Amino acid sequence: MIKLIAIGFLTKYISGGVIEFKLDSPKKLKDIINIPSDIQNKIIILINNVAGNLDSIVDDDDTVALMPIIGGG
Amino acid sequence: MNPLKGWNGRILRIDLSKRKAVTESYDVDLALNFLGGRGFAIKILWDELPVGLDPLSPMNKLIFAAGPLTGLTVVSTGKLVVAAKSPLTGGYGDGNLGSKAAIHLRRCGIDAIVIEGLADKPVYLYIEDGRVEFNDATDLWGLKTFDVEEKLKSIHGDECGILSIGPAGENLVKFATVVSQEGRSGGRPGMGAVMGSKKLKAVVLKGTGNIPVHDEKKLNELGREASNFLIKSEGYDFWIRQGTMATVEWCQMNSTLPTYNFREGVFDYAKSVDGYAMEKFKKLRRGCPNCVMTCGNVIGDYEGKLSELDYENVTMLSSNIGLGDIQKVGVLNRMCDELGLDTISMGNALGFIMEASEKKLIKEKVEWGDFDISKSLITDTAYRRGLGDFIAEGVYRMSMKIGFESEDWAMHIKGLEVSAYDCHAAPGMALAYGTSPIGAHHKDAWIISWEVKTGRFDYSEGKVDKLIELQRIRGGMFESLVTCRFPWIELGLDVNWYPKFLEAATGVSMTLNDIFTVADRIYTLIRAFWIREYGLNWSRKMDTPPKRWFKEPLTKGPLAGSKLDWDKWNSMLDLYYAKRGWDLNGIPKKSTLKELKLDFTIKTLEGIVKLSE
Repeated sequence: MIKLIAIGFLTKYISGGVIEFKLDSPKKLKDIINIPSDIQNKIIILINNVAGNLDSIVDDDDTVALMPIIGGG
Repeated sequence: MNPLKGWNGRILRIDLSKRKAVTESYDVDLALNFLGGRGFAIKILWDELPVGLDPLSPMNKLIFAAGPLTGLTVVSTGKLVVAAKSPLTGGYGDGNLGSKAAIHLRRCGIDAIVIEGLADKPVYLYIEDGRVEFNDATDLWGLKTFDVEEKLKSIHGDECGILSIGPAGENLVKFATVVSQEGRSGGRPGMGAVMGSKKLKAVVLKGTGNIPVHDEKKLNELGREASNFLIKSEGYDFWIRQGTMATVEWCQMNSTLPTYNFREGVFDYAKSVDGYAMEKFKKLRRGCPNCVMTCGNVIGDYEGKLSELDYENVTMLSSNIGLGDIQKVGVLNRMCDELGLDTISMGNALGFIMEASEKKLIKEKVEWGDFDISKSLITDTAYRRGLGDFIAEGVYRMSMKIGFESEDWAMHIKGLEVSAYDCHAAPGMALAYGTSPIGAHHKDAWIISWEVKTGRFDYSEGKVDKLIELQRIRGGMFESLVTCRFPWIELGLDVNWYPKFLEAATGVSMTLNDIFTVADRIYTLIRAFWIREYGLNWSRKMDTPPKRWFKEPLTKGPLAGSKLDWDKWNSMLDLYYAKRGWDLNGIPKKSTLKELKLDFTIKTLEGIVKLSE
């Protein structure tokens, strides 16, 4: 099962903030989640805690976190 | 006659000893070379303070300074800077706070107030346009900040702007702040203590004039466009819901949540104190004037009172002391605001005391997460009673007294307690804290998002470059234009809007790079001030983070095992110094001082330390 987690305003793209599903074969992240192009430079993507991007290949058993770029107060 | 637009061109000087107030014009060069806010403050402190001055002596100068954008109709401009030589650090100290007082200050026809001397009995200042009253504050002395504000409003009306201190400032607690509007607090490095040392309880401002601007139509147009951009931005709705409180979840996910005196970066009870927990008890939103993205989330706390929360206050008084109940955290936060204590330093100091107790280095038993004891210690700190008197000195001085290697986990830099970001796995942020011009605070640069996105464990030149860029924008531009950085950092308002705002306000055309040159001048002058005050005691150790982050790895969370690398981190510091034009001890080179038009510092510095060419 691949696990997708979103926080902050990105929860609107992953209902409830977390989804898990079976991924039959490796795919580009952008092929399994639709993030509008105008916010792609405003987010951080971690794949198994390592920085990635929407072109990164993900597989079953991966954990993907989508986070806004924040400014830290 | 004021030759400038945007700036009022005048400073109000107040001598409390002589009960004398004088408004004086300042030179155009001050505006063009230092812009305002922090820039004005450091130039005045450098020029006018004797070297080695006791920060709590009457000769210290307490400065409230606005900038050329403060109070104007562009986004989030209701801010001012409060500055003085710091009793906590012995170096330059400042902070900013959002308050109606900022707008009124500018409407009084001035850009800054410089206060010196010592009143013979408690006073408060009432400043209305060009008139200054020295009013008896004997009845206000001892009151908490919320009560002071209520009393002063009953005398001067709801619309005035009020800056006050609580018992902590009166009792010279070294991390006492200046407070406004029940929870807007500024001046972490003891600016409230400086105010208290002068027996100045409050400053009430009421301005009715217009701020002169170069092109009002253009300014209004830009302001409207920028506000519309913010309101329509992708993150706006969520910001309105949670504000900075969303950062709790973010930091937990990225192992940067300060936990148990910065031992860890994740907290088992984070969900009990995050933005969603806050929303359950949220009563209203508050914020600064002239803001369309107000950040203050006010909850009903555990005692049924209102408490305005944001990320730093909450984490330092929750995860950092092991307390996992948002409403109880709300009580501690409100108490600090009422008493005029800095929430960040207070939470840091409580964490230090809890660890010292755990290690049996103090006789008092203060367990992690103990709400009742935390309450008592906060009150005792403000009134300097018992153990509170010890805490009131801050963690650096506590660790010096306790000894037993407690310096390793006394979480401060330059004497200022680290704010709310753990750096075991954030070398760039550790450098940001190390080189912050007031000590370990995040307002000058916050680089963790960039680190996470580009290379968490890199100690790269790119990271140093990014840090300097952030310091130029946040610590240089925003702190001297004196407007809030949130529209840029949180909702993505492009930084290039600000030179446009400045030109419409003042008629002065400056590129972003021109502003960065001013920022570098301010940074290097602040650095020169520290060197002047510390003399031969200055070394690169002053810029070095606590040993805990280098010696004791994280034990929990996805980044367990992480810690900073001493040699790599120091290489990054070397690179930072080189790019700043400072030597290997962080002392500005003579050529750098000349290049930044800071020649006037050279003679003084050469009498104290050896300057490289």
